[in-house]
Amino acid sequence: MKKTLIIATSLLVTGCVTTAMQNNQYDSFEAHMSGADYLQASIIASDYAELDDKTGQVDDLLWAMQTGAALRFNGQYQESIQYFDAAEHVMKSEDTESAVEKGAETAGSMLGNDAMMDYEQTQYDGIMANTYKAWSFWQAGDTQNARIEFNRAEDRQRRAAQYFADEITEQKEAIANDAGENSDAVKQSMSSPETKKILAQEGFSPQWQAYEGYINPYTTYSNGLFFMLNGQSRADYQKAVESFKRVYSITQSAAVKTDLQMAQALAKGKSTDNFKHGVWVVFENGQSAVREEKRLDLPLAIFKNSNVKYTGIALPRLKARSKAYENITVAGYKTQEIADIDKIIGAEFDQEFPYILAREITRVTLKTVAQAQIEKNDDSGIGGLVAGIAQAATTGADIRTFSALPAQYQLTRFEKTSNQLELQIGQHSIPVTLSDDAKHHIIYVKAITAATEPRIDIINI
Amino acid sequence: MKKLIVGTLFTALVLTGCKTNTQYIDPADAEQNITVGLSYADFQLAAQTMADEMIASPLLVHPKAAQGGRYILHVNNITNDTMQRVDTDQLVKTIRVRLLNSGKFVVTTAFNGEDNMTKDVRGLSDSEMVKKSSVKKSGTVLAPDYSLSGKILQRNASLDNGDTRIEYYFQLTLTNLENGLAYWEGEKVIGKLSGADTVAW
Repeated sequence: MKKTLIIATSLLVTGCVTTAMQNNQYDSFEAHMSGADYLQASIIASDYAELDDKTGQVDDLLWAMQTGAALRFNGQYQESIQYFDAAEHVMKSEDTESAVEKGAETAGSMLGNDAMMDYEQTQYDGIMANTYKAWSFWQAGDTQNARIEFNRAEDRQRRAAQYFADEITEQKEAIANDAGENSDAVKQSMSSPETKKILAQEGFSPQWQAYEGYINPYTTYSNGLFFMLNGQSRADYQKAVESFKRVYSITQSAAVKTDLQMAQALAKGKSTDNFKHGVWVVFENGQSAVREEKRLDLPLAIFKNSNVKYTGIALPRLKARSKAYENITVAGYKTQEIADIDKIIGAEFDQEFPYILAREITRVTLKTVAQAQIEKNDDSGIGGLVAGIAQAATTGADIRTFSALPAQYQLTRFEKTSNQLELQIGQHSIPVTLSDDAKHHIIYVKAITAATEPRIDIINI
Repeated sequence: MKKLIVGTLFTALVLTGCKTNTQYIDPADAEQNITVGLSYADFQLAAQTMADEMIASPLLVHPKAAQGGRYILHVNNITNDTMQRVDTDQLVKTIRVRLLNSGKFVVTTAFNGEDNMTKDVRGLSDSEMVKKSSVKKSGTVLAPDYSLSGKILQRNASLDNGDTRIEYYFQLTLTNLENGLAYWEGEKVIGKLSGADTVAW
C-alpha cells in the first residue's frame, strides 16, 4: 500500500503542469491582450518569461515571445527586440539540445504530459520573431539592423521548407521508441480502426494546407517592401522582386502586383525619383488560432480485459479566434488579406499532430501498465483507485502556443494625393496627417478586436 | 563506500570537464575557435587581401608618387547585408590602416560626419578663448579623389546531408570621383560549414 501511494504521489507530483495551470497563465494575459492593454499584457508575460537583468537571458521561450509581441504592440520597440533576442537565444539552445537531453526530457514527461517538456519553438515562431524584430528596428529608424533581421527571417523560411521536407521523415522513425517493451501495444493502438474513428469523430483530422513552399507571405511581403523602399543597390531591388513574385503567386493581390512592377522597374535601373509618393497600409487583424484541450477515452489494445479505472488521453486541438474586422478602408482603398496566420499555424499543427498523438498514446499505455500493476498487487482496491485518479490528474494536453499573433495580415497601397487621410476602421473614423518631409509612408494598423481602439503607427521613408 | 568515492570522483570529473577556463587565443587564427558568424580572423583575411590588391593596382599610382603624392580616399557606406550583427567598420579599419601604411593613400575623415572637428574648429574664430591666428582657415580642406564603398553579403544553402554551407562575400568598389569610374573592384569569399541543427547567426 505504501509503495502504491508513493507511485501515485510521484505521478501527481511529476505531472504537476496541468492544463488548468496553463489556462491560468493564458487567462490573465489574454484578458489584457483582448482589451488592447498591451502594456499590462507585457508585464504579465514578462513575469512568466523570467528575464535575468544581468545576462539579458530568459527562462521561458514562449513567454519571452509573448512579451516581445505585447511590447511591440505597445510601441516599445527596443524592449520588444530585447525579449525577442533573448527568445532567439533559447531557440538556439533548443535546436542544439543533444539527442540524449531530448530523449531524457521526453522520457521524463512519460509519467506526466507534454506540457512538462520545455517549450520548443515552431517554425513559424522563429520566423515571426525575426519578422517582428525587423519591423521594430524599421519602425525605430534602424534600417541597418532591420536589414539583418529581414535576412534572418528569410533564412528561417528557407530552413522551414527544408525541415518540412526532411525532418518529418526522421521524426517518424523516432515514434514509439519511448514506449520500450510496450512499443507494439502503442503501434497497435495508434493504427487501430477504433482509434482512427474516435479521432475523426472529435475533429482530429488534418485540415490545413500549408502555403506553397511553406512560406509565411507576411514575412516575405515585409521583406520585399523593406528592400524596395530602403534599397541601396540593384541586388536589393532584385530581392524585392523575388519576394513580391512569391507573394503575388499566392495571393493574386492587386497591391502586391503594383509593388512587383515598381520593384522590377527599380531593378532595371529606373531611378526612385520616377515614382510618385506612396502610402502602404499594413493591417494586423484579430487574434490567431490557439490550442485547446480535448480529453477522450481510447480503447487501448492491451487493456481490453483489465480492470483499470482510467485510460483517457488529452490532446490539443486548434480553436480559431476571430478577426477584428473584415477589412479597413484608407482614402477609399480597402485592405485585402495577404497572409492567413491560422493557415500557417494549422498546417504546422497538422504536421506535428501524429507525434503528439504517438507520445500521448505511449504515455497512456505506460501509465495504464503502472495502474494495472498497482491494481494487481493491491488487495484493498484503494491503490488502483488512487493510481487511476493520479493518472487522470496528470493527463493533460500541451496547449502552449504563441497566442499574441493576429489571425491575418491585410494590405493596401496607393499614391499619396494628400497629407490628410481618413482611416475607416469599423465604427472608428481616424484622421491621420502624413509628414511632408518623407517620400513614402507605411501606416501600420493593429486591431485586436472590434471592441478596442485600434493602434496606428506610421513609418516615414 | 568505495563505490561512493568512485561515483563522486566521476561526477566531479564530468562537471569540471564541461567548464572552459578563460584563456588567450590568437584572434587571427582561422583554424581554431571558429564561429559560424564573422570573426576578427575573417575580417582580417578579407581586408588584407583586398587592401593589398588596391595597393598593387597599376591604375592607382599617383602621378607624383615619387614626390610623395598620394590619393585622398573617402570611405563611403559599407552595407552589412548578412544575418550577423557586426560593425562593418571592422572590415574598413584594417583596410584603412593598410592603405595608409602603404604610402599610396591618405584617408579623409572630414566628410559624412566621420570626424566633425574639421568643420567645427573653423567656427572657433569667434571664441574669446582661442588665439585667432591658430584657427584653421577655410578653403584648406582637401576633397577626396576616390570613394570606397561596398557590402558584405551572406548566403546560406543546405547541402544534401543537411549541413549548412555559409558563404560571406566581401565586395568593395573604389570609384574615381573625377569621372565616376570604378578603378578597382574586389571580392573575397569566405566559406564555412555548420551543422543543420540551428541557424547560422
